Amino acid sequence: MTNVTTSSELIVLIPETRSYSENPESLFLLLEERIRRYTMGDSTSVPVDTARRLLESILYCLELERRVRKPNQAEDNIKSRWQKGVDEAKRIAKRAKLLLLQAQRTSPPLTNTAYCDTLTALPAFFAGYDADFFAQEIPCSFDYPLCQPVSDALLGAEYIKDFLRRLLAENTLLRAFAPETLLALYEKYYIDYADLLVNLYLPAAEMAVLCALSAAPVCALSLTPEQLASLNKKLLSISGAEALQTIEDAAESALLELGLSGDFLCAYTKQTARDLLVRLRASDPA
Amino acid sequence: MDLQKEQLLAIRVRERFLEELRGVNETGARFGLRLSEQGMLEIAQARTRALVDHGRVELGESAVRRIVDGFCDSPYLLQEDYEATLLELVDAFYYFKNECGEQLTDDELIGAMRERDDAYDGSVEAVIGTSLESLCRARRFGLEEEDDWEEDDDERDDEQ
Repeated sequence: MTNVTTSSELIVLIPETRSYSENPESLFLLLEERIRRYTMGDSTSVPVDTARRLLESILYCLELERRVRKPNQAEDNIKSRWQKGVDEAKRIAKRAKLLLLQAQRTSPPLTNTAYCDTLTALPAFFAGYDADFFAQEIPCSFDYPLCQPVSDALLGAEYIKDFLRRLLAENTLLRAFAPETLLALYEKYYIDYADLLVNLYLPAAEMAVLCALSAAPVCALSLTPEQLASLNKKLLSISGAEALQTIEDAAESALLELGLSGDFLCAYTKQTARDLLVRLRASDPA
Repeated sequence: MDLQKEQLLAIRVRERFLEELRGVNETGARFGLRLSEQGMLEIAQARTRALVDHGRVELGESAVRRIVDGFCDSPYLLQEDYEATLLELVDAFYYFKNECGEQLTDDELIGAMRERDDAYDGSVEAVIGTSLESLCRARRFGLEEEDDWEEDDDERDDEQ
């Protein structure tokens, strides 16, 4: 271990550093500066874990800057690029905060414990988020399961913003139904929707698509067992491509019937419909 | 990061550290203390080993300079023990730094180590063999003679 050099320490800290080939010394100097700022001169050293988190934050901000940089824009030095990345992370966090306020104002007619706990936990993110030092971190914990989860590749404020965007899309659909309609559906779908860690949008979206497919009123969210069996048969009797088109069209007409629009909601509901089709076809014994 | 760039960076970092130690010699010279080139290399190695062993990262200015600044005017520090003492103090410093959970600044910790050193007539074993609690207690409330610092040493070995 006596031969461990400072630069290879960086690589041990985060193997991804190896991919940062343009100028390792500038990265090294930037990390040095961030450590100095972080300790405010009180300490010349930090634990490995802290250094790793600071380095991850630098790499994340550089990546963020690279993604938002205009194609014809000249590349600045590493410090300016990192600073622009930090500014971008802060901008995303501000946008996410607005989405949280919107989510708090537009709760679905029925909620469950996980949903409420998540909305209660999310403000802690904005209180604890530190884009200057740990832009990639999510300083809060929440567990409401979305129907279409956020990609694990997203970090920091980006993750929270995408989570809230998806949550708002789910809320929009749920708010189109009466509470008693949703209650009746959840009672059939889940044993205990209020206390289990379950998604509230999924049953409503799936049933809305199926209702649209069988030309039943979407707002009722109810089909007889015979109607469901007939739909199943219909979807399984046609080719995969045809079934996909049919179910996507049904998702679109369900939204239309509910008076809902928006590209993201439409894409989100179509994806839910496609997932439903996959499950239906997978459960076909033939 | 390709190997050549890595090696180049490592050499520059090491050079910078050795340059820092040469600066340290200027301070020490006022008290008749001097590190040889070989001693500097040994301290560079000891520092790297201590950082790795105690799971710490130090870029830029090192704590070695602060340790020297904190101890160089000790009447118990003699040229013949200077390098060996510094090696021991560097290792102990990073150990205590981790132990204190970032609650003490470098200067506070070095101050506590120095007080302990003075209280035990420049016994570096008394500094490295004590526990962080004793070190801090002495710093805050004044030092009480401890007959059992050898036991603390055992505790420290157990923790490691």
